[in-house]
Amino acid sequence: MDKSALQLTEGLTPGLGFALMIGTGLVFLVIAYMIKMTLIRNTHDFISSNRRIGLGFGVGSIISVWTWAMAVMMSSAMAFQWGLSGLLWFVVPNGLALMAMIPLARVLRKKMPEGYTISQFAFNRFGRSQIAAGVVTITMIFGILLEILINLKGTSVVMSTVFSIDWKVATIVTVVVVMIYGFFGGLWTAVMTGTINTWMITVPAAVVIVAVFDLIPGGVDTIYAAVDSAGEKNLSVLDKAAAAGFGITLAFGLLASVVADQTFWQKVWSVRKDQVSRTFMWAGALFYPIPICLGMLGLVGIGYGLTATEIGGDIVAIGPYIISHIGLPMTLIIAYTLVILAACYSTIDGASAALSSIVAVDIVKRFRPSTGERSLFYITKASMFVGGTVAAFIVLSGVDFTTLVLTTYALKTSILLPLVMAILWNRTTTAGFVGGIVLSIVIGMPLRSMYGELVGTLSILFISGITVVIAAMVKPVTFNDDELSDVTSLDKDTDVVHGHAPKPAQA
Amino acid sequence: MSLTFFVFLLMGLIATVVFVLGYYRGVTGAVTDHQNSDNAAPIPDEENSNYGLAIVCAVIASAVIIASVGFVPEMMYAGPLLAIVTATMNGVAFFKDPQAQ
Repeated sequence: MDKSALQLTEGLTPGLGFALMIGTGLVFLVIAYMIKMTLIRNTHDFISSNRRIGLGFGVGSIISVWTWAMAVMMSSAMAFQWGLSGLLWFVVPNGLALMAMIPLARVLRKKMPEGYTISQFAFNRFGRSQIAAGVVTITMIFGILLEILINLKGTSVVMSTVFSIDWKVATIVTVVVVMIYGFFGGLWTAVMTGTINTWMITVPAAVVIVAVFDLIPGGVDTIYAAVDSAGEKNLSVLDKAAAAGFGITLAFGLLASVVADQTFWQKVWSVRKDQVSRTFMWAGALFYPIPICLGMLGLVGIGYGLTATEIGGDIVAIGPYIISHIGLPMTLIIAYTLVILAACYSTIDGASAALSSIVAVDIVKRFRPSTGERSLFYITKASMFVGGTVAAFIVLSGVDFTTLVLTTYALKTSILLPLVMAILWNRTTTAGFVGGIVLSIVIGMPLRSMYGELVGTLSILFISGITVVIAAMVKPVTFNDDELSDVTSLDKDTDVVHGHAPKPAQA
Repeated sequence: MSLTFFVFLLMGLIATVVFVLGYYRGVTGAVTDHQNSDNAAPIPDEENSNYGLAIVCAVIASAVIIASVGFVPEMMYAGPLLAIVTATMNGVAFFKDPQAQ
């Protein structure tokens, strides 16, 4: 495998890149408009799809929203950096994190059937505590912002690597495209376009990877031999350095990313109640092949003996670099670009839909309960634009968003165990919940900066969990789960979109 | 391109057909369900299925597939093959959905 044979394919013009970005958005815009006219009447429909999402759309949308643009590239990057050990530690916790939602989702959907958000659960679970709900709300908003801006960053890396588009322009175009089509149909749009994206992330990706194998003389045997000769650990999954370097920390981080993410809780309350567990089971299991498939590009990169410097300094670019330099036909390069765009668009529109539910339920309705349905509907929609704009501004400003990443990491990791215990253990108290989060951040983050991610993560988890237990022992209180069933839905009858008045109550 | 490529292309095509058929069924089911939501029968509670074993199997299978790439070069095709299976099963999911029936 001679890396001098790798040459940038001609014809990858910025115009073609823009056409792909905007063209995909236009197709989704048509779908979104049809959804708006047929499936959306009010805020309840906009943020929860009237709790009628079935298995097919549930599975497709969860897979696509979990497949971040960065994740598509990170699977290749981890295989490139650590060999098969890197791929294993990246892939295995990813699917497991989705399936770990099953017991939590099942319990909470049953206890609080008319819920919308996880912050709403915290509010009602902890005696209408604004502090407990506020911590959860802030965590969710930070997480959503981070999801949006990381995907914007990922897309801009691909579009600048493959099509030489200015990364700032790519960022703006992506935000505008997703916000416009997402604006119309809310969660239904995110779910239906996300399911299409799952097809785009799978079938084209598979064909492209097989075509890459085909272009290398000797195919997979040559790749295997080259990877093996590049380092004996490349073909082993037992490299401890990968586990210690990122694997164990990533595993907990992914778990926290799902459990402390409104994007997934919104699905819990929006999928038909008889399909919730099955949806997360199928989604977790069917997610696995995607990073395994795309991770093969990392092995190809090792086989060619490429270095980070040769691909632009960032190992995340290994996938796009191989695809744009190995000599694939233009149609297959376009197919790969659509894989990345699909991953990016579906995560951003899913995150935006989640943000809209937080704004509607945890901000507007909590602090101004008298807000009318029409106002609520338009505020909810506008919040999607605000979220996208803020994320785009952060990316475009060029500021190092390490602070946001660290803050989100601290909040999500610290909230993981207290939240799980609040759902499953009715002796969890408000003091334990809030105290666990605060103490684990105050003590755990300095430990993290002194002793590294692994020690920091384990410390945060231990402190947050033990605080909840100690608080429950010091002041034993048993929460009555029936209080959660008192949570009611938003107005389901007013039709804001078509202008119909609420139906009169039946005598 | 090799025969293998065209075999994968054909499998991708079949997966696409299943996916599109399922998707169409899902959309029509969702619209019908929405139109009839006022008079719809109540949705039953979820069955008490235990997914523990299924989760363990999925996790082990993914690890074994990745590990086997290190022993058998042809296992590099497993990822692409299973990605096509994912699209197919997403299509099948629409047919397993009582809403769309």
